[in-house]
Amino acid sequence: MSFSTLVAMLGPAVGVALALALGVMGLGFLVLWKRAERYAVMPMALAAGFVAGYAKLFDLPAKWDDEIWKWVVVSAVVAGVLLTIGNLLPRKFEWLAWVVMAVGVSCLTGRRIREDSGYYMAALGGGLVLYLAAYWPVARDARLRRVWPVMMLMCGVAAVALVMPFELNHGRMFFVLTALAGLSVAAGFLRPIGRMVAGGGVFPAVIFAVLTTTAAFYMVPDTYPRSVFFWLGAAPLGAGVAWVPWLKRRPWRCAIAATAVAGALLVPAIVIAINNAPPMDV
Amino acid sequence: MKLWQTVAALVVVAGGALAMGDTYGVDPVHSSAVFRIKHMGATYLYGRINGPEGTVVYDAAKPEASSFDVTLKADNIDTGNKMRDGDLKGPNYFNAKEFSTLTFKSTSVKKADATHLDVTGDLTIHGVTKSVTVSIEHTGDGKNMKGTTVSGFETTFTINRSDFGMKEMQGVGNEVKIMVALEGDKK
Repeated sequence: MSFSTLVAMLGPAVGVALALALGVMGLGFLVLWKRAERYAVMPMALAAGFVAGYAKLFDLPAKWDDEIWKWVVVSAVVAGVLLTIGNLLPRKFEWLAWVVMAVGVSCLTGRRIREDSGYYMAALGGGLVLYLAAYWPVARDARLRRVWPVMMLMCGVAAVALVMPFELNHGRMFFVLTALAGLSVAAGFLRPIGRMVAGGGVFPAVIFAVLTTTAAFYMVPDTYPRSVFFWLGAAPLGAGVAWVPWLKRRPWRCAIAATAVAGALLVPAIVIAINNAPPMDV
Repeated sequence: MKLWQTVAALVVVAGGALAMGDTYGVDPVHSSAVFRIKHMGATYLYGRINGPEGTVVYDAAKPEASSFDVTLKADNIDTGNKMRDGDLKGPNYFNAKEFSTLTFKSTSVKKADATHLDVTGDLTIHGVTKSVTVSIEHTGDGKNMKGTTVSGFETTFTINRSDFGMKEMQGVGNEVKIMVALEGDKK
């Protein structure tokens, strides 16, 4: 696929996603004055961006029994709303919104996967619990605002590279999500809105988990081993390095360590994918 | 009295069975489903969906009594390239995980000429069902190696895949020509 084809295919969706996310962030910055409220806007901004990008690429789900992959966008709405509510709650009650979100997203995704539904529900539900635990020290900590976006940007780039050649729909959704992580990286360096970024960390990780799960469900075993998705899905757990007190006090070193851990988990995925890749002469 | 009633019932049932025509089981080994689609607006790419299955009831004397019920497995798509087959089985095309079969079930059959039937039926692809009318040719009868009577049918028709919810258009045409040749073993 040439660069110009890629731009033509994804440019409008990524443009709309970034514009809307930035718009919501800007509006939140202008309207809301409390730091906690500005944090709260971030999941909503990323969710709005993802939904807009998705709507530019695909039809929104029109009926309850629509295809499984189309429900990723509904999961994004659920995650955006509940993570925003969680950000508005006192810190000790935030986990309640996270649990409701994790259950809701797992049920939405797994309810129509009849084949091995238990396997996928357990994988996504368990994965989300681990993600949420890994992200807890990073969530809302403005000093660590560059940890998750850099790591998710790297995970997203790897996911696009691994999935896009085999399954275009998920590849495109990963691309939109990665673009939003890129926006968060850039925003983290902009002084006026930079501190808002901290509040959005969990959203990309949750949608990353949902996309990895549904992509693994659809992947034809002939063309891709499932273990690739295990390693890919584990990568965002790199954020868990922020549990180490020594790293938590040093934001840049924390970001580098998180990226290194995520990278170490991505390497096996890339190696397995390269070793099992069929000829590219499509 | 009861004996006469039984005999009369048997006559009616036997007559009905005769009127139903011959039933053939589609032989997956000697039947083919081939499709062609334009690639990059330049050339036609051909692919197969291996192993058609189903049942054909054919009544040469009374074609309206004939019926066609054919099933193809989306997982059997074969274009000679594993990576492309994986893409075709994926959610942006056939979505084989959720819609494992492509089916055609006839709803009415009319005689067109000595060898052709105009068959209207429900075509289900990608979970979407549309009524289509196809011309099916009865290509001949014979005996196979086991001595079983076999009968052949063939059709070619064109669909727009976007009508069946397959809207991915990157370099691949919308119009798909489908050619199906069936060999049925008489049951």
